[in-house]
Amino acid sequence: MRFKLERRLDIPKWAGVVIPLVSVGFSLLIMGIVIYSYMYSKPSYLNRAIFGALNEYRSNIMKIPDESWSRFEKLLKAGRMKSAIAVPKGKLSSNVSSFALSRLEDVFRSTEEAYKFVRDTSESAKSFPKDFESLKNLHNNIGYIVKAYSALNKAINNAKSIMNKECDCDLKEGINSFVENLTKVGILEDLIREAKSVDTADPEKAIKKLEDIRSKFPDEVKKLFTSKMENSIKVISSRCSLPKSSWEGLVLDYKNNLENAMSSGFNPLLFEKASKILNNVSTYYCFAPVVKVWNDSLDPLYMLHKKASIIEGAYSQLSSALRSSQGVLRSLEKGRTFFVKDTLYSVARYTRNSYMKLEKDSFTSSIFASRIESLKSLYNEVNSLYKSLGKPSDIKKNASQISEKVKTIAKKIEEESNAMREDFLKAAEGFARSAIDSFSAIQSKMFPEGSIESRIAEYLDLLMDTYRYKLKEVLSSGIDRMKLNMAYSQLKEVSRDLTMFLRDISDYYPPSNKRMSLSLDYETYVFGMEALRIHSSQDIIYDSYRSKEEIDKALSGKKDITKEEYTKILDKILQGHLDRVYSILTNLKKDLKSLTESFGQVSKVSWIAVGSAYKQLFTWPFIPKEGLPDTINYMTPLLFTGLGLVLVFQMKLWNIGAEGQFYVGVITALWLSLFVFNNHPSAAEIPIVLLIGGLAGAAWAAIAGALKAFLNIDEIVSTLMLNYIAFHWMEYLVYGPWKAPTNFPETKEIPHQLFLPTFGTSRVHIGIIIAISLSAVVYLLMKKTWWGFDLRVIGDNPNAARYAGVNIAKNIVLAMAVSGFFAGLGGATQILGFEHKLYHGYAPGYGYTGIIIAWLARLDPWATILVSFLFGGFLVGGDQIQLVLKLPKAMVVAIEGVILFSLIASEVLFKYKVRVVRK
Amino acid sequence: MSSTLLEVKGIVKRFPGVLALDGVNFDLKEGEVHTLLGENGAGKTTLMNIIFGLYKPDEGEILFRGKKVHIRSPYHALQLGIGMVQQHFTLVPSFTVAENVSLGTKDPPNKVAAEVKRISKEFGLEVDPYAKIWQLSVGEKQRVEIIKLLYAGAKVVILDEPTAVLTPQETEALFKAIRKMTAQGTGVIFISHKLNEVMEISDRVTVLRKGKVIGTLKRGEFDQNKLAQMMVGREVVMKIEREKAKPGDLVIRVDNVYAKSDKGHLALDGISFEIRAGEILGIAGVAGNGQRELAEVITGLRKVESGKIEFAGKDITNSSVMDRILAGIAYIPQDRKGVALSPNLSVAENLFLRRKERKIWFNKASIYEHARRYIEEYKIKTPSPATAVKYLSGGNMQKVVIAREFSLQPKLIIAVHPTRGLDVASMEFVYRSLIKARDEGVAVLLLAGELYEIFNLSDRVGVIYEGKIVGYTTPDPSPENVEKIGLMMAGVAV
Repeated sequence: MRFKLERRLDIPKWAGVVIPLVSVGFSLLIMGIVIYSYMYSKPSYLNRAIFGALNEYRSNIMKIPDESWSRFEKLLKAGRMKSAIAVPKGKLSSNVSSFALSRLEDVFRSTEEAYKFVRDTSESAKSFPKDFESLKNLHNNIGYIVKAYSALNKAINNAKSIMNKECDCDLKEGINSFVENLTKVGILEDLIREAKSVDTADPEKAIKKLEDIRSKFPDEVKKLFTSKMENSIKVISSRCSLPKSSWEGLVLDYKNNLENAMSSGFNPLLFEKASKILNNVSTYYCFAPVVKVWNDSLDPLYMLHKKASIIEGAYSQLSSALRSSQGVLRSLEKGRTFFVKDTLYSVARYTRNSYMKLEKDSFTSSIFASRIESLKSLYNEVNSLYKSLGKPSDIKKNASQISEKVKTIAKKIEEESNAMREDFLKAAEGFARSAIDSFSAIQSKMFPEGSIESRIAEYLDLLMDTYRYKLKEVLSSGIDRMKLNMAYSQLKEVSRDLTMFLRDISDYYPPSNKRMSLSLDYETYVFGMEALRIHSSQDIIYDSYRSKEEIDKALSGKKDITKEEYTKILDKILQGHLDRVYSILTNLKKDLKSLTESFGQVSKVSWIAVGSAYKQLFTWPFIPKEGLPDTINYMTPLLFTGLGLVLVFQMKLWNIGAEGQFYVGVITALWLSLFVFNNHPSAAEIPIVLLIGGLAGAAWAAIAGALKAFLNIDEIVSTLMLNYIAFHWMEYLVYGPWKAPTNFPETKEIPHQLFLPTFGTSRVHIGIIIAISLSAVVYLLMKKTWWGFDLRVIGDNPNAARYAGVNIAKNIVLAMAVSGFFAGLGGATQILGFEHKLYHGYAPGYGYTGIIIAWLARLDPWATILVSFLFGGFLVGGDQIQLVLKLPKAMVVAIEGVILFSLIASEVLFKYKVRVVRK
Repeated sequence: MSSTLLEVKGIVKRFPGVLALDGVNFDLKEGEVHTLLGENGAGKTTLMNIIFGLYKPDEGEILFRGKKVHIRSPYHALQLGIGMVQQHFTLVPSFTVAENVSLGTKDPPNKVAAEVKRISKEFGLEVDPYAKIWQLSVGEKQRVEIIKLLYAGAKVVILDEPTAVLTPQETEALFKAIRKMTAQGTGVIFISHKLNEVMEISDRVTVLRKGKVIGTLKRGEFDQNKLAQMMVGREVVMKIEREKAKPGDLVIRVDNVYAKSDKGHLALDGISFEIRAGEILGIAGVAGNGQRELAEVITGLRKVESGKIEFAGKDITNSSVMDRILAGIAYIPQDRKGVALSPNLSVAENLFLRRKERKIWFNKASIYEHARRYIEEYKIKTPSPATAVKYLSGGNMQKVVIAREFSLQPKLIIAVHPTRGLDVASMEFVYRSLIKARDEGVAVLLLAGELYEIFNLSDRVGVIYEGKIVGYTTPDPSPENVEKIGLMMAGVAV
C-alpha cells in the first residue's frame, strides 16, 4: 500500500473552507499534545531543576549551619502537608510547581543566611591580629603602667619613712594603687599577686619585697612589649606584601624608643614617641588612613553631583531671566508697553529665585558665594528699575531709556550665567584634581612600581580621565542634567572599582577599619551576592546565630589564626551539611511523585490541563468585557499589515518588510505628536498624523520596490534588511534624542488630545474602523479596478503583463508603496490609539505575523478581517493560557508556528488528490 | 570506415498528448561527426536525452558497442562512455575548473588540474584549471564541459546546439577540437539547425521531423538546399481557397533595423521590408534566424539598436507597447502559455489582457458579457468564462488569443508560428481568421517555419536568414520555387 498524489485540474469549492479548518484542527491537536506532554513531564522536570540548582549550589560553597537545615526540614514537612491538603484537583500541576519552587527558595534562603553568618564570624576572626591589638592596648594604657610604677616607688619610699619613723604613712595605699592600675590594664598578674602578698606590718620585709618587685617590673613590662611586638612583626612580614624596607626602619625606631622609655624609668614622653611610631607602622600596615584621604577628596565631588539639580535649577532660572529680559526688549521695540512691567517683574523673580536656590544650600552657597552676591545686586538693580516704571504711557515715553537699562541687565544676566558655569567648572575641576592628586599619592605610597596593583591603579586613573572628559562635555553643553548623571555614574564607577580593588587586595593586606573588614573572602562575598536575591527570613537568622556559638567554641583556645586554618575549621563544622541537603531533596523528589500520584494519575491531571487550555483559548478572547477588547486591539495592527501584504503577495512580490514599514509609521507618528504638533495639539491633527505616518511607511517600502524594479535586487532581502534599519533607528531614538527624563529608556507620552477616540469607556480605539474600511479599499483596488487586474497579471505571468503593455517597474514601486502605506498607517494608529509612547524593545512583530495572516486569508481582503480577528483572539488566548497554566511563552509562539506550518503544508491538498494505491 | 559505437533502433517516446519520437533509428561510428538536424520540437533533444539516460524510451532498444544496454541515469551513461554537453551547463559556479572536473570522480583536484592542462593542450580547449567557473565566458564554460567528458573517458560525445551561444571565432575553435577528438576515434553527435555549420563539420547528417527520421545522408550526398527542404517539409496539409489580394495603403515599413537577441548576439542584421493593407507577407526561414526578435521589435517588446519602424505613416521606433496596441498592432506570439496568456486568470480576463480602452474601474459583469460573445463568435470550447485559461486545450487557447487580438481592431497582425501544436480543425480556423482579416484590409506579417503554411496564406513570401531578408518570391508550391526558397533559407541569395 502506498500513497499516490494526483494533480487536481480544478480546486474544489469545499477546499477553501475545509483545508484551513483541517490544518487549524491539526495544529490544535499538536498544541494539546505539547501541553499534555509538558504537564506530564513537569514533576520529573522539577526534580531535574532542583538537582541542577543543588549541584550548582554545591559547586559554590556549601556551608550551612546544622540548625538552619533542621529548621528548613521542619518547614518543608509542614509546608508539604499544608499544600497537599490545599491543592484543588484542576490546578494541581501549577501548585506542584509553585510548591517545589518555594522549597527551592527555602534552600536558597537558608543558604543565604548561612553565608551571612559565615561572613559575620569570619569578620571578627579576621579582624586585626590580636597581638597588634594588645600592643596598641598596652600603649593606650601606658599611663596606668607609669602610674603603677610611681605608686610602687611611692610605696617603697613610704615604707622607708615608716622604717625611719619619719612619718606615719600608710604603706597599703601605695601598694593598692599599684595593684589597681595594673589590674586595669590586665597585665603582670604575677607581680600583682606578689604585691598583694606584701606584709604591710613589717616594713623591712615589705621594703625588701617591694624593691624586688621594682627590680623585676621594667623587665616584665619590657618582656611584655617585646613579645607582642615580635609577634606583630611576624604577622606583618607574613601577610604584608609591602617591601620590608618600608616598615623595617620604623619598627626598629619603635623598639629603640621603647627601650629608652623603659630604661629611663618609664619616661612618658619617650612612650608617646614610641606610640606615634607604632601608629605609623599601622598606617603602612593597613593603609586605611590613605583610603580615608581618598574618600575625603571624593566627597566634595560627590556632593557637587548631588547638588547638581540645585545648580541646574539656578542656572535654568537664570536662563529664564535672560529670556524674559529679551521679551521685555521685544515688547519695548514693538511698543507693547502693556507687558513690559509684568515681564520685567518675571526677570526680577527669576533672578531672585536663582540666587535663593544657591543660597539655601550650604554647599552650593560656599561654591557660588560670589555669584550669590552679584546676583543679589543684580536683583536689586532690576527691582529698582521695576519699581521706577510708571504707567504704560510713561513707559512708552521713556522706552529708549528703559530699553538701554534692560539691555545692560540682560548683558549682566548673561555674564552671570557664564560665570556660574565657570564657577561650576572650576569647582568640579578643583575637586577632581584634588581627588586625582590624593589618588596618585595613594598610588605612590601603596604600590611599588611595576606591580599588578599599579596597573590596576592606572586603569582607575583612566576611569578618572573619562570622568573628567564627561564632565567637560557637560560643561560645554550648558549644564545638562542627563549628561551630568552620566558623569556622575562614571564617578560612581570609579569609586566602585576602587572598592572592588581594595577588596581584592585585602587578601594581602589584612584590614583594620570597618570598610576593609567587610570584604573578607571574595568567594564568600560572591555567593552572598547571589543569595541576596532572595529575601531573608527571621527564623533562619535566629537559627544561624545559635550555631554561631558552636563556631566560637571551636575558635576558642586559639590565639592566632590564619585564613587557611580558619577555613579548615569552618569546613569541619559545616562538613555534614551537604549530605543533609541531598537527603532532604531526595525526599522532596519522592514527595513530589507521591503527591501527584495521590491525586490519581499524572496523566489525568495533564488531561485536565489540556482541556482547560482549549477552553481558555476558545472562550476567553471572545468574552465581551474580558478578553474581547484586547482581541480587537491586537487585531487592528495585524489587519493593517495583513491587508498591505495581501496586495503585494497577489503580484508575487514578497514584501517581508511590513515590520520595518510599521516601525517607520510608529516613528513618524511619534515625531509629529511629540515635536511638531506638541504646542497646540488638537484632535483635528489626528488624520494628518495618520496620513503622514502612512506616507512614511510607503516611502520606506518604495525604497525596496525601486531596488527591485530598476536594479532587480531581491525584495525579500532588501525589505528584511530595511526592517533591521528601522528597528535600530527606533531603538536609537528611544535611548538617545527622544528619551524622556525618566530612568527607563522610553519616550514621553504623546499629548492626550492626539489619542484616538475609544468606543465609550472601553479600551477599544477607533483604529479598527479605519482598518476594516481599508479592507474595502483593498477589495476595490484588487477586484474592481483595471490597476488591480494589471497587478494580478504581473503576479501570474510577468511576460504576459509586458506583452499587454503594463509598465511592470512602475507598478512594482507603486504596489510596494501602497503596501508600505498600510503598514505605516498601522504603526501610526498603534501609537495614537494604543501605545501612546515608545519604549525600549518595542518589537511586537505585527509585520511578520501579517505575513501569516495574509496567507491564511488566502490573499482575500475580507477573509483578512476574519483571520486577523481570530489571530488576535489566538494571541490573547495564548497569553491567558500562559497565565492560567503557567506555560512558558515560547510554547504559545511555537503553536503559532505549527498552525502556519500545517497551513502551508495543506497547500498540497489544493493541488493534488491523495489516493491510497494497493499493489 | 570503422566499427559502430552506438546504435538506437525503433525508439518511440510519448509525452502526454504528443508523440515525441516515432520509431527512430540512429547510429554513430567511431571517429565520425554525425549531425542530428531538425526544427525546434522535431525530437532531437528528446532522442539525446534518451541516449544520455535522462528519459526512458517507451519502445525500442539501445546498443553500445554492439551490446544491448539499459541506460539508467546520466551517471550510468558516463560510466559506459557516453557524455553530453547540454544547452544549460551543469557546472558549480563557485568551484574551480579542476574541482568541477573532479566532481563525481574520486580524484583529488590537484591531480585533476594537471590532467586538465594536458587535455586542454592536446585538444586546443584552452582553459585555466584554477579559474573559478563564474569568472569564465560562455565559450570557456563549454570547453570545461567537454574536458569533463574527455577526462571521464567518454567515447560518445553529444553536443546539443553548442554553437548557439558561441562567437564565430569560438565556433571555429570548437570545430578544431571536434576534429581532434574524432581523429582519436571519439564519436561526436552534433545537434544544430545552422545549415552552414552542419555542412562544415558533419560526416553524416540525419534529419528529424516531427519525431521521425526523414533521412540520413553521407558527406557528399547533402547540400544546404537539400537539408533545408528536408527540415521544413513540403507536404500540404490542406488547401484554403482565397481571393487574390488587393493591397492598399502602406501600413508598416521596417527600415534597416538592427536588434540583439536575449543572449546579446546580433539577431536582426539591418532588416527592411514593407507590408500594405490587405496583404499577407509570409516570412519563411529556419527557426532561430531572427523571427521572434523581428516580431518583438515591431510590437515594442524588444529595443531597436538602430533603424526605423514606421507604422501608418508615423515613426513608432521608440514608442511603448501600449502606444502600439492603441495604434492597432496585434500580436499572436509563438509562446501561448508563456507570453500570450496569463494561465491562472480566467478565460474572460484573458480576453481583456490586451485592450484599447483605458478605464479605471474594472466591471466584471460587462467583461463576462463581452467574453460570452467572443466565446460564441470564435467557438471557444470552455466550461465557462470563469475557467482558468490554463485548463483549455492548445487550440482553444489560441482561439482566445486570436479573439482578443482581433477585437483590438488592428491594422497589423503579427502571427508567429500561429498553428504550432494545433490540430487540423484549429489550424483551419486560424488560417481562415487570418485571411478574413486580410480581406478586411488588415496587413498581416506571418512568421512560420512550415512552408505549406507560408504557401497557403501568403501573398508575398520573404525568406529570412541570419536576421536579414535574403529575397522575395511568390507563394508558388512548385518544386522549382521550393528549391529556390530552400537555397535562400540556406543564405544563398537567388
